[in-house]
Amino acid sequence: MTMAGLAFSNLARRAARTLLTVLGIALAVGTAVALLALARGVAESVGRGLDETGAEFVVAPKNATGVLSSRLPENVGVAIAAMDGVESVSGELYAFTVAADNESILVAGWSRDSAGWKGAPLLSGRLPDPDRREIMVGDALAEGLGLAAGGEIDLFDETFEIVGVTGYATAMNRGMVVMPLAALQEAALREGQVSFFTVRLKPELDDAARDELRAAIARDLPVIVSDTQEVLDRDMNYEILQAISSAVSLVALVSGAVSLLATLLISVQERTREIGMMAAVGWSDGRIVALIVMEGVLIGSAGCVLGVVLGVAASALFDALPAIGGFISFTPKAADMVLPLLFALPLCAAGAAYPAWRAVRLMPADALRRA
Amino acid sequence: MTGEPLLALAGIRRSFDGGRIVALDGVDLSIGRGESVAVVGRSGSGKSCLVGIATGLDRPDAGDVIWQGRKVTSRREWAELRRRSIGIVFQEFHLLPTLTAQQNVELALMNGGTGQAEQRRAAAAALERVGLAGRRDNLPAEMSGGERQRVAIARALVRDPLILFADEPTGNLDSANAENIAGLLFDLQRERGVSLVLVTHDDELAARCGRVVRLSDGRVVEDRGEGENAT
Repeated sequence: MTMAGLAFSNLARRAARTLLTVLGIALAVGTAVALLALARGVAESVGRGLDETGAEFVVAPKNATGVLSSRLPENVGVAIAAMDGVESVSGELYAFTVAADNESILVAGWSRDSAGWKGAPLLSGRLPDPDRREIMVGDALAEGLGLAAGGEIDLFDETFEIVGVTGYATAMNRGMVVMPLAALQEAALREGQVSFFTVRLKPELDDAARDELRAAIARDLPVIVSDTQEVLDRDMNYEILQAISSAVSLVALVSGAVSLLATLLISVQERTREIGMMAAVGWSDGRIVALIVMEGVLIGSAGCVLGVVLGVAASALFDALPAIGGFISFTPKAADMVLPLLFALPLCAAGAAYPAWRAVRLMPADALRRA
Repeated sequence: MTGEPLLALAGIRRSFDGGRIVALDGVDLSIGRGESVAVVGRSGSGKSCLVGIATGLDRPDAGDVIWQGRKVTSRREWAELRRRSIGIVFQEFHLLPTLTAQQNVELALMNGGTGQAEQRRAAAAALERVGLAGRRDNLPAEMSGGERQRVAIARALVRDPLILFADEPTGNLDSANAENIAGLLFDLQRERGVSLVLVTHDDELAARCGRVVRLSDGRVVEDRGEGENAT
């Protein structure tokens, strides 16, 4: 008989309790996986959303805490466009508003020469006229609010005509309204302002020249120049979301470990005489501790495997629900699973170590006398 | 007894409840190789406590336990001794309910670097010796009290210990089973040359041992060996 076989046999004796503990750990790990996938999904959605609309570099205010909430004077774009090697500069303004049914909506305002207009994947209708109060809506938003080309929607207490429905790939863009920059500046009371500029450089520039131009923009103007990943790395909103997700994940994992601790404490207490018997037949303290820790690790491993499956399944479910997946992308990656597992397994081992220590602290004769 | 004792207790004192209950009070006792010693006395006289101290399952308040001339002090040394040289049989069999008879015996071999094949072979041989060759795959719940005690004896003997402590081994058995178990213990003691320390209330059983040690109020009041008074 092997140690693992004996540990498994001990766990099988209280199958219902073992399964409930496994489920507790699985829920903790699953929660952590889904939350971390959410945090990363939000960031990636924003990043890919920017990429999808044709951004090469993003020029944002130096002191910006979040890419969507930052503000820059529109005329900064004129100075950037005048620099040698810049092919085009497009001001983009972003603002949140609330639709009639209290649905929060992200609204983008694109300047007339934005590369986003050219690449917009229209599913129906046409592009908005830059001189009119016309908008196009993402397909997830259209589905969620029952909108279609030819209809109308109230935004910022004004009525806008929907002229097109887009089929972007990212959750951010699928839930977004796009209108001409001037229309959004007026509606959101942000005249003369943009959130950031997207900049396209001339294709003939080599890497050194591109780096030099980026540095020159950042040196001459009160801005930072970033690619989309760097934008996210600096985004405080994303950092806060990531911190909240990590904290909630940690709490979930610790609660899972505590449930394991409770289960093993009860199990060890019930088996005090057996542990005394093991000592009587020559088992060393270390061996007894190893057996109990192995039981904890077996439960923990089963919980982790089930938790990853639950986390991925929950993420897929959230992704498929229009009310959630239309706005936030849940696509767990290996990195989202590694962190919970790296925490969960040592926590389970630590949770098992305490009951194990209690088990061998008793003299075997005392253990054998216990009822 | 001649030559160096296998196990010696010197000045053992053990009390409970902050010293109010004295279980052993200055006990000196030596056990030689191959001896059969009955430890008798009324309930509460300190018999089981003596077994606990002599096997390292319990720790004395004062006094030394000496194994083959060397004082034993640490838990690790005691675990090693119980693994290699000391077998213990209890009144309550202490078998794991989810393990078969074979697995319960293998349990005693799992902590000494014995390979799985050797574990299986040795456990099967021990069960065969106690007459349970056909019951190897049975769970304790499927066995009689006498059979369970045989499994416990097989578990205690599977490592060929030098000394076997049996604490009221027939206390939970009917008279027929008690006789069978007693016979088995004495047979094993003779054929293997193992020292046997038998704690019992039963004077007839004690009389079958070569030496009888009587405890009263935690003291050795009589130590009678091979028909002569040694104390």
